[in-house]
Amino acid sequence: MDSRKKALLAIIAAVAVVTVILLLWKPTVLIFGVQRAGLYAAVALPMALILGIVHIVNLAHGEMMILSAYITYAVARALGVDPFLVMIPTAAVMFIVGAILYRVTIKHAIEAPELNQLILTFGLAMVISQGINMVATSQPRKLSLDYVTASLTIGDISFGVYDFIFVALALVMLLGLTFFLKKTTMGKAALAVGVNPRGAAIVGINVHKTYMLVFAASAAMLGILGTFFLTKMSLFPTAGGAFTMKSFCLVAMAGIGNLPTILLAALALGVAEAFIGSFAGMGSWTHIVFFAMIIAVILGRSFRGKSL
Amino acid sequence: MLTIEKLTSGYGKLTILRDLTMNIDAESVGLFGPNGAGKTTLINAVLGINPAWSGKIIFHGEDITGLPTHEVARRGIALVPQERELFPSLSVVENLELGAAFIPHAKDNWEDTLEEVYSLFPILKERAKQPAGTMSGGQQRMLAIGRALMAKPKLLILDEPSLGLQPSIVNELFTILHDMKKKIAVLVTEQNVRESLRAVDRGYVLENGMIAMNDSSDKLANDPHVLEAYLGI
Repeated sequence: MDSRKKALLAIIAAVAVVTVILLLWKPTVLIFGVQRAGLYAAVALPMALILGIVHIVNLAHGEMMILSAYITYAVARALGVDPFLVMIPTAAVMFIVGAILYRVTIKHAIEAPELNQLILTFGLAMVISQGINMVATSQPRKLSLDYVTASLTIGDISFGVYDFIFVALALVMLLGLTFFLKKTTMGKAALAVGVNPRGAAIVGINVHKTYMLVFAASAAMLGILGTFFLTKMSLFPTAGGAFTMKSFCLVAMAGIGNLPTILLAALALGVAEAFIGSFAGMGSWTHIVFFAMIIAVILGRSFRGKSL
Repeated sequence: MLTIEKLTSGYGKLTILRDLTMNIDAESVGLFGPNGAGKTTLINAVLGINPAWSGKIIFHGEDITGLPTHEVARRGIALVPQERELFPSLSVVENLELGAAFIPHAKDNWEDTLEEVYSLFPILKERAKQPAGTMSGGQQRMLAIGRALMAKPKLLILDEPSLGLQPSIVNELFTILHDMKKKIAVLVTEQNVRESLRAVDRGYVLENGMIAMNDSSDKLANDPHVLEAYLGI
């Protein structure tokens, strides 16, 4: 307990020191870092649900987000409406897509070693991104929405405010997931199945239905996120891969099954990337920041001699 | 209550149970036999954990052969597995709550059942907030029994409940089982035949996947074959 308190104090102190230095030196890094962190956390939380709680490995995570963004894009363009009006229907469609993907594919690998799930969902990822490529071509797509360009100027720095919406989305997702796991019967079933599927069946839990609903719920969250993603970023078929990798990195950094820590891990990744990117000519180096971070975390864990 | 008719089951190509027929009414029944006789296979077949190759399992007049495990559990058969199968990272009280949460006839007044389980195993109330995995083997066994009772089962099946427990706890356990059989039907498999014969009305002796003997516990306790093979006299 005592060492835990010390660790917490050390983290708070480190965050405070970094914040002060950045505020004085590069305040924009802090702002862009927090905005990036919001997006990363929002992508990683649905993965934390399926990987951290019920231990389904899904390498098609980012691709499923991009798929839902394309669905929203197509419908919003066809009807000429704001993408947020299409968000809930897209989430519903993704819930069904998730349930079908589980039934048709993952269900058959759920009791097999995790490598099987890895290969299976890697295949799914390729099918999804190449499927998008065939239907929508590789031409980048972007919606131009006037409200996403709103900006704010404080002193001599000016920044977009819309991106903070990802931070809000991540917080809402975290609250929703925490409520789901602690308060609902389905959430308790998910926890039990994650800890011990055999024990869960014995106490009357429908294990496969639980897996399916949790996977579908994560797909629906990606459906909501895809809409948010579309409002700000441009779409292309392979845009999801990087998010799959970063989500893995964040879930591993936070510790399997530890949802709130995802936000902290995302903050670290977001600020570090924004920091590296703030130096002229270093933009392309931001993509390897998460590799460095995950290596550091795994090394740290192994030196401590215990897996958390 | 539970009728097993000509049940054949096994693993892969290996036949374990051969045409096994047995019956349990509102009573306490022991299932004895050496390692590998098929005791756990029989229980797993009843619970749908392991498929029945042929034959029928009938519970309260309903054919439950081939039902998935959670459906069998919801119909009122609770299992205390040999390996306990608890949720180690969840607290004791969460484990107990999960025992009732998915059983239609038990979930509504689970808090009353919880008090009954606490009065049976006071240690569980003391440790209510502790993660189940941090308790001793004996306490975890009690938790597994408590979790099974939370489901308000009509039939409680215990697979080797005394395995790995110290003798004083085994004694206590069988006293509790002896009291329990007044309320619910109990099927218990044991290698500790001496202790368990005290707690059951009747016993089956299982050898090579077949019923070798079926008699009241008094008669079994005095049977020369049982004395020699299981009581070491």
